[in-house]
Amino acid sequence: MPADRSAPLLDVRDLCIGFPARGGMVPIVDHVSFTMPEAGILGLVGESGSGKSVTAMAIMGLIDAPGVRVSGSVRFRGRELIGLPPRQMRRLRGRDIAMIFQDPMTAFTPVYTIGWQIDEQIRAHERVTRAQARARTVRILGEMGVPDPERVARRYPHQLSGGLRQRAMIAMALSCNPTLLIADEPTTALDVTVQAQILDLIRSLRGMHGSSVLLITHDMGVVAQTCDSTLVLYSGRVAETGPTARVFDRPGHPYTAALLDSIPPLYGPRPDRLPAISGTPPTPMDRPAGCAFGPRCAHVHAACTTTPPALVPLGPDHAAACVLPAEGTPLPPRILRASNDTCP
Amino acid sequence: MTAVLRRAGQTLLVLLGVSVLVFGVFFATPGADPTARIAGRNASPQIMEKIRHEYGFDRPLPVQYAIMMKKLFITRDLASYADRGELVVPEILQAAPVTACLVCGAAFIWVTVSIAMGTMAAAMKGTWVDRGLMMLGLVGISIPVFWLGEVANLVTQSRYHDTWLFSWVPGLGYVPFSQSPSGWFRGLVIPWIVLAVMFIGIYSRVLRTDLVALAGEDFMRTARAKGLSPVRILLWHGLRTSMVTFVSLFGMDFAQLVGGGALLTEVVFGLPGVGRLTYRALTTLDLPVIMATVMYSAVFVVLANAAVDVIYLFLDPRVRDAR
Amino acid sequence: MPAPTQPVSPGPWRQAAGKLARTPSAMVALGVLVAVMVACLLAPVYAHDVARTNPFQSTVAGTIMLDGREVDIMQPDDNPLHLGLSPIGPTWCATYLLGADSQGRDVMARLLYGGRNSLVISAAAAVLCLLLAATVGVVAGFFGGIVDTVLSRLMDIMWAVPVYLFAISLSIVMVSQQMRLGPFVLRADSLLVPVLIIALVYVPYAARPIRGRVMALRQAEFVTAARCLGVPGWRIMLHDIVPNVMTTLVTLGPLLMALALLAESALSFLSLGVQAPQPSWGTIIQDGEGLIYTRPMVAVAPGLAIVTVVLALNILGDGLRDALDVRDGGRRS
Repeated sequence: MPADRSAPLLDVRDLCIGFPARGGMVPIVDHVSFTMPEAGILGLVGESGSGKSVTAMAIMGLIDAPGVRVSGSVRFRGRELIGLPPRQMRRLRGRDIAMIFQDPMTAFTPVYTIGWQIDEQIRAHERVTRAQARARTVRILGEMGVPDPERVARRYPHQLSGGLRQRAMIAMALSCNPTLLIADEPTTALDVTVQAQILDLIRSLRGMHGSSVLLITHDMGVVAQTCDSTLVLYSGRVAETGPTARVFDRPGHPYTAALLDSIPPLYGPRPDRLPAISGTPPTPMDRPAGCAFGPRCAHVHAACTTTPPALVPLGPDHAAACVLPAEGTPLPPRILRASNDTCP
Repeated sequence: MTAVLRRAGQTLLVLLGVSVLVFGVFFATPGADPTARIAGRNASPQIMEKIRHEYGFDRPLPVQYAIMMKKLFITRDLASYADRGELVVPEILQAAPVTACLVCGAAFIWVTVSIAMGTMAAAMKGTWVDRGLMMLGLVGISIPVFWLGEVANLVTQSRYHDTWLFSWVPGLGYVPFSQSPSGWFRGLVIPWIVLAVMFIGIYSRVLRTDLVALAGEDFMRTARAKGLSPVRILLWHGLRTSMVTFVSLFGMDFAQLVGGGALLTEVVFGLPGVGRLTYRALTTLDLPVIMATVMYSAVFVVLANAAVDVIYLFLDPRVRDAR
Repeated sequence: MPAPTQPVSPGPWRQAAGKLARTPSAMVALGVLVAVMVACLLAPVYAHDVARTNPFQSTVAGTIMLDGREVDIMQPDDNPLHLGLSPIGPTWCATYLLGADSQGRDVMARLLYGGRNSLVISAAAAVLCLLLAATVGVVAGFFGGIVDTVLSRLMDIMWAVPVYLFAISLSIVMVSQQMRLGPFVLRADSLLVPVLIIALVYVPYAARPIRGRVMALRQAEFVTAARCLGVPGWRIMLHDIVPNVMTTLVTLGPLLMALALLAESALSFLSLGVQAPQPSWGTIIQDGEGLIYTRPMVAVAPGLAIVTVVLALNILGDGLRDALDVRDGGRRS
């Protein structure tokens, strides 16, 4: 992360999100910090329940469940988003920051055509005529690789395949040329072949639109293929962060290492059984006092159980929340280099 | 196309079933002689004999059914014996416009008011406005319509009739539109409101529940992520999608009311519609009239439901393609 | 299989009851219902010991003592349009608390006795209707196929006839003469007549959600599991389906009773429900119709009683639905 830029595109500092339960506040997201550079792709990785979607919703200002408390700081081009008046936040949403969702089946309003819904977003942010909006809609749909975009624009969501719908979703998100695109598991609900196409599309956005992408996923393979840098979340806290190639080569956190071990290797002999991480992540309500990964960690010892470990720098832009490097016994670098073809 | 035909076939089947059901209720109940019922009170043996022959009560049930259907829908010469041979079908057709006026006006009121109430309550979910509106709706559902009519009469005709508030309310009864449009309107306003109250309660509550459920849907989140205003999200995305349920409910209730469900309102306000025709027949035990109104209303409801299905096609593109 | 009792987490019914008890509106509604029921049960006490009358005693020529003065029960009319007599208005004393009706009967006594009839009829009709609807819904939903088609069509057909018209049709047939169903003779003025009629006309209304619930349960995994284990169909129906449908039935109960009470009053108002001289809230309103401008209390009081009870039932039904709703109990995403 270049430090010379005075105002990075997105700067998240100490983001905490708490839900009220059992008479107290339960932290879903706990002091998460990260920075997104211009025209970069950041992968936000974690198991379900690790708080990655909630983080995205908080950046978008879409959390409005009663009692939820969001604190910390989210700066977009130097502008504080937490506590921004709804009217100003709304002007930002869809125009500067856009979001695409996991399930393209349910993300479109079923009673309007695809084109109508994209036009709506354009016309919500810019003063253009209906015809101009539609022309842009058709153009963007075409750019997103939608065949016969004019016809597709006149179709209803249920009439399209999942892949086409996700392309339309991305087209809608990009219709106002946002500088930041948040993609919340954009490929999870899709077939594997379609998945690869959509990932290609997301990667090409940087060149086409100059957009940065915050890609949320639980799939390390997707991260390796797509992202410049990686942020691993575990149980609402940052476990590790760094450039993708580096994180994959020499993971600093046992959780990251275990995640990488559970991916089938592309080269070399196939193991009989992939190693799995035993146990399940703790629920936000009964998180241990120390390292949240402690109960599942192979290297757990007394130092892990008292306080949550702080992020320890391991190299350029690379840090992990683990006591091992500080104690002088870092994890060994991984020998397998399976994904060097896609990592920058 | 085959689906449309199948739907039409279904409608015909239901029509047949409904007519058999109504016929059965009136003329095939065990342990009772239908002749005496049609003849009314104190009929002479000659008339009884004539009726028995005319309706084929000495022949098997299917023949009786066929004769009745012919009299109702083809020759339309079903006559009321209690009322000196008055033909029933023209009487119903004459009364129908009054009922239609009553129900259409009430429907207009209940649709607009309940949409406003339901949307407002959903928008302010959890506040006292929401709770107040929904409690008001519940009260509306809990009031017997005939009693509300009586109380409305008490207030507008008697207690506060001489004040500026209700001095414009004319006496009970119906003034045809062609005679005096303003009199027609003034005479119907109170009945409209009274009839609409219960439906306002039902519809606003249904709509509110629907909108609140929709708020959790993915597409509502998308709409918010697009940067649309809350009002636009609620109206253009939420309300428009809710209209699908709303319309199907509306079609059913509207048809039932036009078909005679407004009987109590008509009786209380002395409006000479189909319902009051039925009521008058009740007091004289004039079975042919009652059966005819019930039969016609049931037929109307079935046809209206078929019509709602067609409207559905315009409202929900998913249904359009499913056929 | 009996549900395993766990000391740690109470069963779903327990939980629902606890949730209901914590809903103030539902508790108030329940309190109102109980109060009304107790009042109606005490009707004889009021009639004999307080008002010294009974609901049928018409006292056209009598007088009562009021503030030491003797007052006619039937008084000369003050309304120039009516040249006859009009009954005494509300005295707000022990006798004729709410006045008399056109036959000089004590309205308060009739209100309490009428409440008994109205409540009994609506409760019985609701229970009967639920039994019928549950049978239809469970059978249709469980067996599916042709059974479901036939039953669903039948429900559609019944529902196509406007409820009140259907009830009126049945009433006019049953009220006009007594019916002989095998060994049973159904007298025209029996309270069973409105019960049967109301229960019957609301069967389609209640059967539809029950059938939907059963259909959903039939797809549920625990039913599939039971099926795979070779558990016979009737056993699955009794042990797996019916207990799970109970929540739907319990929720429908108060709502159906509210509908039944409204229907009963409407039928009685049209002289097709409870037959004179038996009182019910609907018949009292009808008695009061002619007096609405001179002695409005005769019609207003039973109407208020209906609104109170129906409202309380609806609130209770709402509370039950919220308390029993399984989806609502889950965590929000």
